[in-house]
Amino acid sequence: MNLPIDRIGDFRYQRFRARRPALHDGVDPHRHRVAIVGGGPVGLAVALGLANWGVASMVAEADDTVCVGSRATCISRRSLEIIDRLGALPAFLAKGLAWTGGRSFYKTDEVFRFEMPSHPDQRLPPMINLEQYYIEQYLVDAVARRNAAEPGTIDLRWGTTVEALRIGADGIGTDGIRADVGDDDGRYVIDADWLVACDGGQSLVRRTLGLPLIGTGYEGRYVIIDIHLPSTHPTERRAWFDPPWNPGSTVLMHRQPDDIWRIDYQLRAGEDTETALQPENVERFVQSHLDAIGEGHLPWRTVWTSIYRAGAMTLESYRHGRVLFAGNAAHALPIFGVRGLNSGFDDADNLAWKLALVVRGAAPDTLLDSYSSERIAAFHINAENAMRSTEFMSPPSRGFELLREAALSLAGRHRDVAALINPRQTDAVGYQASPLSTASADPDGIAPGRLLPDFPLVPHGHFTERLGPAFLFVAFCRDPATASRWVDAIAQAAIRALPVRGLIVAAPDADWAATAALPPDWSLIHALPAAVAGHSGNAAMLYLLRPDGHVAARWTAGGGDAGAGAGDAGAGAVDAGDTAAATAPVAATPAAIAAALMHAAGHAARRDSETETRR
Amino acid sequence: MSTTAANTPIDSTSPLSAPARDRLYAELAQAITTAGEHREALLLARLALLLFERLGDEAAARIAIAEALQDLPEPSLSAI
Repeated sequence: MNLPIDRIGDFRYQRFRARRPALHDGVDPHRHRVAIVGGGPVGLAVALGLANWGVASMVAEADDTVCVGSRATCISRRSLEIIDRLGALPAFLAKGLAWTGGRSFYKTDEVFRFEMPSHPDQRLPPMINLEQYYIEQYLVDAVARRNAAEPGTIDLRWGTTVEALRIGADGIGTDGIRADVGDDDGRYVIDADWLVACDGGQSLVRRTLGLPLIGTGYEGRYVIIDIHLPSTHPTERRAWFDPPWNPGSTVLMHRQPDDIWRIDYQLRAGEDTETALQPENVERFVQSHLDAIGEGHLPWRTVWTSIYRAGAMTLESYRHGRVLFAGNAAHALPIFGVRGLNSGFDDADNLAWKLALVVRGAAPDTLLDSYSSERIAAFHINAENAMRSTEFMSPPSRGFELLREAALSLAGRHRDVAALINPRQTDAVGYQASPLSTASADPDGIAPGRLLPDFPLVPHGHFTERLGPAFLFVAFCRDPATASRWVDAIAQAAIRALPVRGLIVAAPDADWAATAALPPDWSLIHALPAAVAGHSGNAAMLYLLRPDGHVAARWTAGGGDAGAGAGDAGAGAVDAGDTAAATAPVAATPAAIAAALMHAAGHAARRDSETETRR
Repeated sequence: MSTTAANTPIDSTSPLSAPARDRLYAELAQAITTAGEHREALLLARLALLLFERLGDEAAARIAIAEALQDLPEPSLSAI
């Protein structure tokens, strides 16, 4: 694996040449709004997300091509929704292998079967498998399409390494970042307003700033082997615990595109890493495993191997002045439950709209503190779930070893005990304590901080396709009168610099003649009554969604009653943690809506008279 | 031995009758003996997981775990 490879399976590696601008005294004369360190999936997702908001960026990627090996192969439904908004979904769905569940074996018995939440009404599968080199290539392709449409939007510099950072120094004051970068032709200097570190687990930016990752590391080590195997077994997650052909071990197997199969297995204590990866040992291990599962007659060859060590660690903050951290540069998560890259896509999705608003002058830079606090809260939820999986897959002590064997050996006959074997695959995380949420006393519907679940539209399409680079008001309505009252209130609440769109969601049989006069940023869409009721309970409900799809605020039609005036507006914008303050529903008055919108964009709660004058 | 908070007797409200308790004691003892020394820990771990499900009460189970760990002696009478 030392020589540059040119293909894996059907995938062909393109090599990209480093490109640098004409320099002035060794300095890139263009001061970048945003410099992104690392052109992996998270860095590219940040760049594409910023581009959706019209914000240009420069991406420095040390390598001259996409990654080798399958790495983060499982992409969740939530990540696919994000990838859709980045303009790359069709390629992912065309190549990726969708799957919905898996099976676990103890010795030779199947003892557990799981299904991830999935419904025919959903437009996306709960998970697809796609090797990371495809993930990166499809994002690179999306960058090329974006640049073709709007030249110069994403300045992707291959073979370019950030070698040193000078933050807030040397002629550009404390308002920016100066970095020494190197390519084949030598060093030069770049200046940027903001720097986003997406440079992975060994992040140079993180080390340069001397920032430690804190958390728990595990001793358990896993070997990852990708093999080419022309098997027709369906796409599912299979786990073998203590198989007789490899006693004491735990083995995972996943199907990937191009007949490439991913095998992960745990090294036993004392087993040497290098020895395990020697070709004859890999050969013996894989052949014995394939023999045992009835596929030993198929020709196979190794295409990639790696070692993985479990750990759940995070930076204490993902924002350090004008430097922001995302993906593995910010945190490490155990692979079990596939929260690594999937949480990286959520980081990128959370960061892009906030950084874009700050760069455009539409939000205070403190909005970026909410990126850090929300994603660190998500890390802890992800880590908690990943730890449960990891404790099972890679028991950290004698007690966990003993109870795992107890649970596995009971699981076949005791379905409740079998639940302990569930691999707890990643699911969308809500921001329950978000500082951007406006507290709500309404018990129905989807609470602030959570994602509004997807639902099918009538006659076709899905709700999540309607998210874009704007705040989105979604009105689940029973009658046109309520809808037009809300549309009017939102029009009055408009805040310059904060783009807003609106959707009215109604049952197909409703009489909507009055809505012919909808403003240009509004659309009327139809959904089945069950979907309308599922999102709004018994009353009509208005949501304010952030550009990443999380609920920022909600109002019911009867909230505060028709007579409630602007005097109630201030009560809407309270700290989400301060739920005691949200004792009574607040009416969706123009003032209340403006306050919630300003709050969601990181502006401190203000009186409505000031909202129009704030940028 | 002095009476401290750590070993204050705890009043039980167990619905088990004295004969039933005696029978279960003997039955589990037989099961541990049948399992043999090399499997006794696994047997007791399985038993605990099954009893959690039967009990269906997280707080009660956690109290029982804590009670089992409290003042756990070095095996003397049962040393292997």
